[in-house]
Amino acid sequence: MKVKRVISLLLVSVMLCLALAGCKKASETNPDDGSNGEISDNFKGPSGNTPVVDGKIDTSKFVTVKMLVLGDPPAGGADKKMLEKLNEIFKEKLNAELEMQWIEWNNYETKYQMELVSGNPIDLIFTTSTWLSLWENAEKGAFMDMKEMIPYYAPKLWSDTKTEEWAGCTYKGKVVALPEHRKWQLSTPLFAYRLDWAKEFGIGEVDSVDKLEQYCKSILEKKTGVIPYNVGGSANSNELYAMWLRQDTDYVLGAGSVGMACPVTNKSYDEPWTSVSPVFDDKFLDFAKKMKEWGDAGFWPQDVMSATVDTKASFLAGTSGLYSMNVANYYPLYKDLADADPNAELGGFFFDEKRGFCIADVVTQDSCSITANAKNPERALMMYDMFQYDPEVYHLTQYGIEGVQYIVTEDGYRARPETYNEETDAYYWDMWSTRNDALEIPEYNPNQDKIDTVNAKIKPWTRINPWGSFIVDTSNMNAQVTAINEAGTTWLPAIQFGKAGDPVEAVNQYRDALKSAGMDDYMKEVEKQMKEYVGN
Amino acid sequence: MESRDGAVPIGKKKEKKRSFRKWKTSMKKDMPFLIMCIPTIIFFLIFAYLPMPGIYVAFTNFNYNGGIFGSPFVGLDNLKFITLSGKLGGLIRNTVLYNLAFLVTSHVIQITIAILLNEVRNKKFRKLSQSFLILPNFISYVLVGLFGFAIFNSTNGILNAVLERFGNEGVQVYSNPGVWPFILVFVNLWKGAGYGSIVYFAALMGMDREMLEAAQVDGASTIQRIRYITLPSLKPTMIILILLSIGGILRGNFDLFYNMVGSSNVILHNSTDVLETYIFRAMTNNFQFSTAAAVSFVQSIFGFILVLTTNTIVKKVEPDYALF
Repeated sequence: MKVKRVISLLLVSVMLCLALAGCKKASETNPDDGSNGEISDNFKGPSGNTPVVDGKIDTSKFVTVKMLVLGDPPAGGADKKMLEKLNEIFKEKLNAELEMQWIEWNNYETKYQMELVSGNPIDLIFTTSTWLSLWENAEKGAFMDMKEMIPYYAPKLWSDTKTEEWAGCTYKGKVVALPEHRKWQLSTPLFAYRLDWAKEFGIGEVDSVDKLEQYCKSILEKKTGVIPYNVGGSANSNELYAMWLRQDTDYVLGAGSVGMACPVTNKSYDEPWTSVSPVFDDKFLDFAKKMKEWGDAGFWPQDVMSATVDTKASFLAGTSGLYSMNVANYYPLYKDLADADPNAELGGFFFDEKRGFCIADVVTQDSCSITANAKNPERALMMYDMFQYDPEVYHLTQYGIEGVQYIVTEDGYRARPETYNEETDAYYWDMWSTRNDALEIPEYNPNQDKIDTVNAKIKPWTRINPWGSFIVDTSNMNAQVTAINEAGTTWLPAIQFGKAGDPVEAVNQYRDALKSAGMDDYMKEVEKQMKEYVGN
Repeated sequence: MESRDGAVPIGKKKEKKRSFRKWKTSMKKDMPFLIMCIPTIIFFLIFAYLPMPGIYVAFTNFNYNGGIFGSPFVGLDNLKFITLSGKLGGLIRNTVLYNLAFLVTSHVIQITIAILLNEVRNKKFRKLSQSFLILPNFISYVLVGLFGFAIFNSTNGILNAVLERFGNEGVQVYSNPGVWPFILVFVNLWKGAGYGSIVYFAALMGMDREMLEAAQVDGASTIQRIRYITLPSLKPTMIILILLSIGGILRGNFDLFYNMVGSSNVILHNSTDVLETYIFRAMTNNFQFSTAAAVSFVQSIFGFILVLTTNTIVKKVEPDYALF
């Protein structure tokens, strides 16, 4: 008995010790300087390792900055060679060195969150508000407020960034992210299709849903063995819904939308502060009926909801007539398709063309933050400023070592040197937010004229994101958000592929599911927060 | 017994001293074994018991500043989302029924396989068939899902090709909820039965051969031998295995369901949506580990209670076979 008691006492005390250790660590984070934001000549900085004294930055103490990016590191280790060169520059100019850590794509989301939870003292960390929960993590206190530091340590970035761009990086008064704002890009969704086939069918360019339908029907009639849209459904499928939203309605996706199914959207670009649900629009039922019709006609595989298909491979092999994507993946497709079939002609049906506008990416589409546990946020910001604005560092980080990864040709294009070997020299830089169009050396691309045509078409569509930094605080609506997300992932993919049985019944069930998930309460809360924000 | 002779307090003291000495000698005797146990004990301490206080995260609205123990306590709010959808009853029904079906069918088949293998006299044939039976266990569920799709899909699946060949009409398996319980139980059997039978087969190998020979001499037929000797000797093994698997009755077999059916095939949901596929849908695009922890916690508690209850019942009926 006694032994048992001793052992159990020991166990309990060990557990208690661990629990208390956890508590202690948790309470000592979140540095607070309490300064008032005015730029003075003296600034201590959160770590004290890099103080500003009489307007000069004191870098006398050598420090190591840790940076975490997402991606599989280049297989040949070219990133390490680049880093050696880079550190020579940093040693000389900043008396610091950079350490890089990669998180492989496999299961990146969990690994990334684990890095944050574990309290690893990472200085620069990649983040994004669109696919890595920047705001949710900021809400949970994962990132440091950089507001006071930036003017001192990243002066170029500070002066080159507009107030509204900073506003887009601010969460509850804290600047928690660095903007991606000097690289123009537009996330506009589209269906890539075979222009040569469309011409063959006498349709010409596909630029409307009707023409798309015609194109698919013609494929079924005239191209045996080709599925108009060879695709496998998943909980994330939403491309046809995205097409419908942009072609048939005024709804825009923005602040307050939930998950990939987006059952909650905003009324229109002119009324961004009104929260609505397209699912309850009568037109949604028409959409569901149409999709059922398409599904029954065989526009996609009969068993789409349980199929696994590599649509890109199928499209390139000429067994799928469509491939859904974002414009960023459309540019390289010219080359891919030409490689696969030299006679093929690529076309793009841009969903946004009808409305003629596309809301620009938020400035936190790709972004960089400093974690709450960072040991050297000041020197990290100094490095970041050089990543984006120092030509030497920019070219080194973006393209690799000159002569190994790239050379500059006589006519000013960037090209691969003859010695370049993909296996050992492959190099890329995954801190995407530092890209800066002003410092780019363009690469020679035989399809450049086509890409330019696409860009000339879509560039005028760019509209500023009207919500700026407004973020819905869902901390007291967690259960509703999770339930709404579940209703969306359950019903939308099946409805948009016409595989949810009778469309009228399916739409009603989807609406009921959203209602019982608490969508009305959620929308009320969103509108309330929007009103408060606009009121300010 | 002797201590009762003396006065009670002294006796007690004596007994304590005696038992301590006894413990000491037995400790000394068993020292090598105890040392051998240390790695296992450390393993369980580190990986099973030390993280246990972390269960607390299931009752919090987690944030990085507060960490596990500093985040605000929200009680059972993390489980609210399941009740919001109103699907809880159906999900639990599906999960429990599937697991019961898996449990019953797999043990019956496993025992049958083990006995059949035991009766096979040709050693080479036995080894070969054993290997073939175990093989499916090593095929990942992702591939099994693809096999399933190759057989059942309505456009160019094997099943429909065969049916049409013989002049029948094709069937749409992926939109027919009625057939899925059978398919899923069958796939689960195909994949796990061979591997699961190893334990039973091992138990049979350890059986006393003399009993069987004696029965044979007494003129018992093969069926009689199986019925009266082999089966009863498998009972303890069976009870232990069933007790162990009953703890997971509220856990789905996520791999199986997700890969065979997909998580968003709504038409089949009535007969294929289990707790884990539901949670998968609710959690994708939505990184909430407090909520996930809460669900997992409930599953564990439920499994724990079930194991304890079943064990108590076994103890009442057949005290020798209980786990603890």
